[in-house]
Amino acid sequence: MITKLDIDNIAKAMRIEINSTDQYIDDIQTVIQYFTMLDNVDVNSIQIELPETNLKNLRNDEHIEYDNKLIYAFKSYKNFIRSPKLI
Amino acid sequence: MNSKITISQYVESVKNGDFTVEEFSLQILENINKFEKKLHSYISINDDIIKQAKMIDLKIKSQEKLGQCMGVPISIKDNICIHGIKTTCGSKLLKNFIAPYDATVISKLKKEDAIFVGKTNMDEFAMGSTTEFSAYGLSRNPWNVDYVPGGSSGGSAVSVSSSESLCSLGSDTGGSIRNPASFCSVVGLKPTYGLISRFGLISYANSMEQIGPMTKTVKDAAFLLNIIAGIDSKDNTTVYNHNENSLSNLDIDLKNKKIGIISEMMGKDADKKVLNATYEAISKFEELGAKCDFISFNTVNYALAAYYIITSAEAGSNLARFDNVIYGGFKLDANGYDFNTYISKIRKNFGKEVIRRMIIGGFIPSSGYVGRYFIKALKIKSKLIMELNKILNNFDVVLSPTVPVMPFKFGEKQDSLSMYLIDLNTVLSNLTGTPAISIPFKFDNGLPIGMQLMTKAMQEKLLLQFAYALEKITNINNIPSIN
Repeated sequence: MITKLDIDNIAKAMRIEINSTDQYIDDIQTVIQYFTMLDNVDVNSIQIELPETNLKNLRNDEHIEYDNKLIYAFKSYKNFIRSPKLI
Repeated sequence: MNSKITISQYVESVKNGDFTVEEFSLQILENINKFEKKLHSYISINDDIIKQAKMIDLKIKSQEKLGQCMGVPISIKDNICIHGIKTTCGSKLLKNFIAPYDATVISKLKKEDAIFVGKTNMDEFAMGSTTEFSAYGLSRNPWNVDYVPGGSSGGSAVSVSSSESLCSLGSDTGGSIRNPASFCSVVGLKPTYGLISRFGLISYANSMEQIGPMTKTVKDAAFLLNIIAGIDSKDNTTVYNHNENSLSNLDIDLKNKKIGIISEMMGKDADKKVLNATYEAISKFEELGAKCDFISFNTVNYALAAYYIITSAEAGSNLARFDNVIYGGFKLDANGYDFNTYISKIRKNFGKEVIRRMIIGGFIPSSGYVGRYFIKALKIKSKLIMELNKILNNFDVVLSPTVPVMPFKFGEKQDSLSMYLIDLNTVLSNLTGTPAISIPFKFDNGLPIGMQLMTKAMQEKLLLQFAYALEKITNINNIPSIN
């Protein structure tokens, strides 16, 4: 069962600040409890089928010139996109 | 002039010169002025409607070649990008986002001279079944404003139902077109996965969602489908549809056609009024000569859990991009914050339902649970595809109520699970990639009930033929008296 601590840790991993775990715990526990119904279904023999895309159908990996206007739109700093510090 | 007409009647009238595109657009704007305060279908309205209508009128006057929409006023769900227009996805995180390009469906509609009335209200990032989770306020059901309009494409359904537009495009990940279509008494089609390009649709759960038409009639849905369907090099999941004309030959004889009714979709928790309506629909189809049989499809009982597991995991990944570096628009200087704290602060602005699903989406694929939930859900998805195909080898279509409950009042469903259970009958077609349509069937105590038909992938034509037959025999012409 998912605990308050799990929710705090997941929120941190998903990078969402939440004020109080209490407002989520009951709802999320009920939903996860609902998911446990899958414990009763036997799907061992079932193969997961995923759609395949032929490599030929993929777009070419080519360089497209960047539009300078976009850089300005994204909070530019001396022609670079500025993001918060990583370290 | 009657603003409640269908697309085909509109096109015919404009061709005949019964009214101009400008006159009709003014009528739509008048309806918006009259009803919008009560209903709140739109997040934003196009300021250039009349200018664009005048241009099309000019083209008609000078006998220039014109696209087949001839200025049809269409509303667009606010998770579909229109170049230069604000696209919020019902979220504060995108409150200032101006789409830098057109979605493929929008390019196709522009080519056919459609006019975009505005962007419709929706649950934030399409996560919801009532439109209560929009960051821009809820939309109301035109048949009774105390009731939810369904969701997540609630604004689209309300705009069509109240004639604030002639038709709309919505998106459907687990019923988001069909559910509001049913609650607002309009036609809503969720096409085969891959039939319509998702390029320019803001992603929530890529493996399930599709754009689709929401209209007053089945014919109108076929009209729009013809325009927006087709392979697109910008979306590798699109499939070739042989340019099938969905509009031709809609009127067929249903004699000896086979309809399956999945018992599990008529469960004990369904509303009696909805079940009775479904039995009535079965009788109507039998009157038309079709053979209806109940069948058991046990795996359907696990569909909803599998659906919410897969979509939450995909949402958790898809929404990672909303970080205020590219998408966000919040004025918060990055100085003084480390990367993760900064992004977490911004993402605090997600609504409660989005945060709930992100947490579920983070939990599901985590170590120790991925096999128990995620892998199992994917296997159930494969099992459902296999078993539904077998059923559809024996039946032409499957019939069920679109939503197992009646439209309900705002705030009536408080907990997440009871809200998710509304999607019980709609998620199957998303999990299996098959097409499904909701058709207005009847009213009970002034509130609409819709019926859902489902069939094999790429068989939209057959689906529309069955829907057309039901529409003809039920002949619903109710008009909401919005007050």
